Amino acid sequence: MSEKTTRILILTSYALFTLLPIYWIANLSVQQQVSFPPSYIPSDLSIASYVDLLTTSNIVTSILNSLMVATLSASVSVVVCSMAGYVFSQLQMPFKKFFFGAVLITLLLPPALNIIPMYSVFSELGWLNSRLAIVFIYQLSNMPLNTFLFTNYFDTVEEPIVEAAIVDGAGPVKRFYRIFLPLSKPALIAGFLFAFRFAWMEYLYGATFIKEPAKRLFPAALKVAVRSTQYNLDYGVMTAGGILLLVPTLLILIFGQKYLETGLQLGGVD
Amino acid sequence: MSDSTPTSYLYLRGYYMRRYSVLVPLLFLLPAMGILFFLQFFVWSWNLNIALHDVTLMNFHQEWDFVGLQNFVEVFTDPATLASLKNTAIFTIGSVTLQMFIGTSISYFLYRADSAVEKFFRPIIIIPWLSSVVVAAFSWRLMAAKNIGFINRIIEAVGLPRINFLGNGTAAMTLVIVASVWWGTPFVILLLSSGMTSISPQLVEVAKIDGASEWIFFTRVALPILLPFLVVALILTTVWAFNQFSLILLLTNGGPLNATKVFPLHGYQAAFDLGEFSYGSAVSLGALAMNLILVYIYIKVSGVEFAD
Repeated sequence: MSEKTTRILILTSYALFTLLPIYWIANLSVQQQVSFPPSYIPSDLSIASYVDLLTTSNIVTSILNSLMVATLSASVSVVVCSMAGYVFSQLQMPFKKFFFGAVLITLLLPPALNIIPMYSVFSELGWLNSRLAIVFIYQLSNMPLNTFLFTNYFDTVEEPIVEAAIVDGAGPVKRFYRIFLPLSKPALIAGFLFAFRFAWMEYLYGATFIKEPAKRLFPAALKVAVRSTQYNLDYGVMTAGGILLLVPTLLILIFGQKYLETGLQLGGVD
Repeated sequence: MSDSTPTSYLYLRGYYMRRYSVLVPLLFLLPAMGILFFLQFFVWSWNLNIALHDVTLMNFHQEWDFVGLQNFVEVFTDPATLASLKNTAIFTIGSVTLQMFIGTSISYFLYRADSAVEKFFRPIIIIPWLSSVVVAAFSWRLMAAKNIGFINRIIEAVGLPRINFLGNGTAAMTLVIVASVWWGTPFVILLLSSGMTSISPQLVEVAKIDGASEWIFFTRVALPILLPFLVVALILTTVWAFNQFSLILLLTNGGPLNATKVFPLHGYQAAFDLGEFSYGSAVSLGALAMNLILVYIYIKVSGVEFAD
């Protein structure tokens, strides 16, 4: 067997490993009645599970909540991190490396570990059950990747352009919005997509901090809907919900792959 | 700038420029640092505050009694803690080893594949990175389900007895490790792929002319170039596997009989299921200390400087 065939065989088996769990829930989600044992390929296509899911109370609301939270936190993240990245890449100030190190450490200290004190602080401030508070928390999670992304992207802006602007008398603020932002469309899109992806997917903070059914985010609402009774899982809701939860991020992959790849290269910690 | 600009204006502008040079960076960094210092540093010190007091669901909004290090003593003499640390060790070693091995092989095969092949596989391989932890947990739960699971469907077709993954400790641990590998490996591939791009195609040609086999090329040429990327990937996957618990929470909830209850989950459940917030805080500070050791190694290895 040639090396080329071996390579393709190995890549194919890994791709199957990747796709199989997704295929399996997709397969179960379109079967009206799951037979025992279930068939490998759906025999009848039914949307009953999806109808069940979307008519479950608060599920549609939770999808809208998640879309809102994801859009808002992605917008805020792009603003906050492009500003920080601009300083790290272009400006001089004391303790710059210290601040950069603080961002870097956040990458290595999973915020999930500070969920207990955060719960306590937010509870004192009356921020539990607040979607805005969740947007605020997501800023921390998004910060390392997006700050590195903008820092590295701004580093690639050609020096003569910046110097010309300085000679023309453009101050640091003006250079930011007249030169760096307009030149950074790919980074702005990638940063937005990263932050949107994160917020749409996140489970732990959303589930722990928001208990009010009408304010729940989609992943947490799904978890609640699946556990309709203590010991029985609602397979229809579980499979249809899993697929719906995957759709927006798959759309990002289909339409934004180019941006994701540039973004990941720039935001990479190498 | 025209010649008629009054010198006083020039002077003023110069003055503001100099002022700006500190003011502007500070203002631009303010939002990011505000978020960071409030949610990271303040919150962590609040964690210490909780861990040094006796805080439960009962007195959550009342006065807290100061108890010193008692919570830490309680945590680290608790047999359940030691059991969860053992589970963390098994989970971390299993998950990291597989992620690194698969991630390195697949990113290397992607690098060596024709560009059409690579273009076909890359978007497929990235899919778990775009999956919520809820998707990962649900799909693996259903892959492993006793009656409608794919894995048991195959096992039965082969003629073996079905496995109850959620009723057997070893099987459940295997399941969470496999699910975490499924979920985490794409990031390793992405990270290593950017390292692969630094292996020049000419090296491949030279190796071919010299008659080096694929294996020799991989071990003698590719691996040394990749080493820094491998170290970064190893540390990141180790830190993330060590702190991983939302996947386990959703997949097995630490069961059966605490067989998959890892250290961070032990703390989370103490706080949010049992209302023992101080105990949970002490656990997360213990985890923080272990993380900081890894962070220290990371900084030493990656050569990041913190001083100006």
